[in-house]
Amino acid sequence: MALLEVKGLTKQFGGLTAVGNVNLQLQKGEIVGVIGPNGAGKTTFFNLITGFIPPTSGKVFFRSKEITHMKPHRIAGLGITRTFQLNTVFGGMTVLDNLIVSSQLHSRFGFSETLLNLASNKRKEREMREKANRVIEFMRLGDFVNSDAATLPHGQQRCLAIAIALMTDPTLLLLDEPFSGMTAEETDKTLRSIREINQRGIDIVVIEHNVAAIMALCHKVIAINFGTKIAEGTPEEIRNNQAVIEAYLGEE
Amino acid sequence: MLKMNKWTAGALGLLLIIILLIPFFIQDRYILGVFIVLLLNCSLAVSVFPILGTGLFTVAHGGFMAIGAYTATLLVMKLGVNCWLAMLAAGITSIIVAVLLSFPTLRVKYLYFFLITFGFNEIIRLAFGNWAWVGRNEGITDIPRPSIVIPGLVNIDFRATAHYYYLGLVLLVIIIVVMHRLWSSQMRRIWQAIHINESLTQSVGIDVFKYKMLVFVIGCFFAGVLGTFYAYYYRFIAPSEFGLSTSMYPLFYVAIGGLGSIPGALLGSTLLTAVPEIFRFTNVYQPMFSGVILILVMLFLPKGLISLPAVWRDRKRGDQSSAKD
Repeated sequence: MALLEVKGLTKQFGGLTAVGNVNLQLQKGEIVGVIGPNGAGKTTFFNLITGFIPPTSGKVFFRSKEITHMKPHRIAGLGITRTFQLNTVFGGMTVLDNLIVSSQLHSRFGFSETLLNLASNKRKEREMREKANRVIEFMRLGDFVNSDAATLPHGQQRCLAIAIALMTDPTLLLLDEPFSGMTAEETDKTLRSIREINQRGIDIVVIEHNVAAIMALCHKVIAINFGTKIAEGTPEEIRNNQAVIEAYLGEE
Repeated sequence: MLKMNKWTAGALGLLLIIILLIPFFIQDRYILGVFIVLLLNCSLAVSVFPILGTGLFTVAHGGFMAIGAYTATLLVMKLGVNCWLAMLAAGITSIIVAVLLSFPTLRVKYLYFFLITFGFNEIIRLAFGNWAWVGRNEGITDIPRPSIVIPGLVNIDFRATAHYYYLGLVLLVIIIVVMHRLWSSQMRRIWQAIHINESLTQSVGIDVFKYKMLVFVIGCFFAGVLGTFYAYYYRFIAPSEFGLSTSMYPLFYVAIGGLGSIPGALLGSTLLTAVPEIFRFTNVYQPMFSGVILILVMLFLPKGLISLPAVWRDRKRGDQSSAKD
């Protein structure tokens, strides 16, 4: 049984086909990379899977359950969490608050228990603080716990974005260009973190421009161009695929 | 939580005692009335600030006050309902209307939300203004005074202005306590997160619509209750009392005091209630002073009066460091 199955997913904006008839099967334990030139439809693909925009046609199944027309927060509730390319953090809130707010899915702070300041509320507050601190340590954000997320260096902001996603305890993590704008050293650290997340049993789909990082990280790579899948295979196969080379470098 | 040293705690304690004793020192009904208006304005500001903190610039607060005021007044005058039950019913009616209004409005953002709530406010005002049964634009006069009667024990007849002062104070304290609880908890984080980045908030599994509705409904509940207080105090209501300016002023109070904090909301309300009062002798030019304050604060203290100590500290530090150079 595939963890995530995408069948004939299509999105048309007016006459433009942003994503056309994409099929994908994701098995448990995998890290899948999605590559493609700018404007190929990678982010739209994520937006379709996570319910941020409705598809024109096609279906998405998660653990054999159809999630095609669900709202984003419901899909997150089922265990699919995505990160964003831009505006990845809650700027203006501290790093700790960024993470605690993202734990709502599991902490389920309620209105009346908050209003009455019940013991359960205080316990949750304490537990979520601890959980946030574990995630902060894991993503190496310890120096920034009480900093405003907006003031973080770019690389740390992208790590915080992953940390925010981790607070939801996802089973499937969709990362939209996690390495963009990172230094080589930061990329390296983040690569290791992502691998470790995967080893802990979280499946990952990564959209990325950094081909070297994708090749090092993924078990399987999908190449998209003009909204359609042009190749699928192991990193090695993709590297040597004629269609992929043409998409990136143009035809001779 | 606020960290306080001995002096701040002492000062706040003293302030609290002064607030409690004001009616004993001030016998003048007009001046005590100004303090009652201050309490009402503070309550309105505190009831609206979490809605603004969620990024919802509502100008429907006056409309909800009207709903509360008319509901309670009609229940008391036409059906003879107990005045406190009527106040509660007014709040609940506001909740129901706020929930209904949530469905069309909370899907849109920014200016669109602002415009729809403005439209709603006008609809409410015009509806009461054209409804013969509730006195059209002339409104309703001779609203009975509220009373608290426990035979043999308590008999508060609200003939003294001081009684209204304490009622206003009780309402303000309740609103502050409720909003403080919510604003010092996960609710604040969720509401702020929605304001900052709605997509990201959705992506971590938070039902944005639900929490927007929650904050809107709580604020509107209090607006309804405060509208009732208004009706009981002035003993007169008319649609013109709940127009756009009534809806806008709480927003000014919050903006001037500082978005996103209860002390800010209180500070802004106090300043914008006191200053026009001081300049009352200027008659028609009086509202001008509120405008001038708003412009000055927005220009020089964009984060509101509450940021004054921090700005001042930074400036001082800046002076020192430049002196070293």
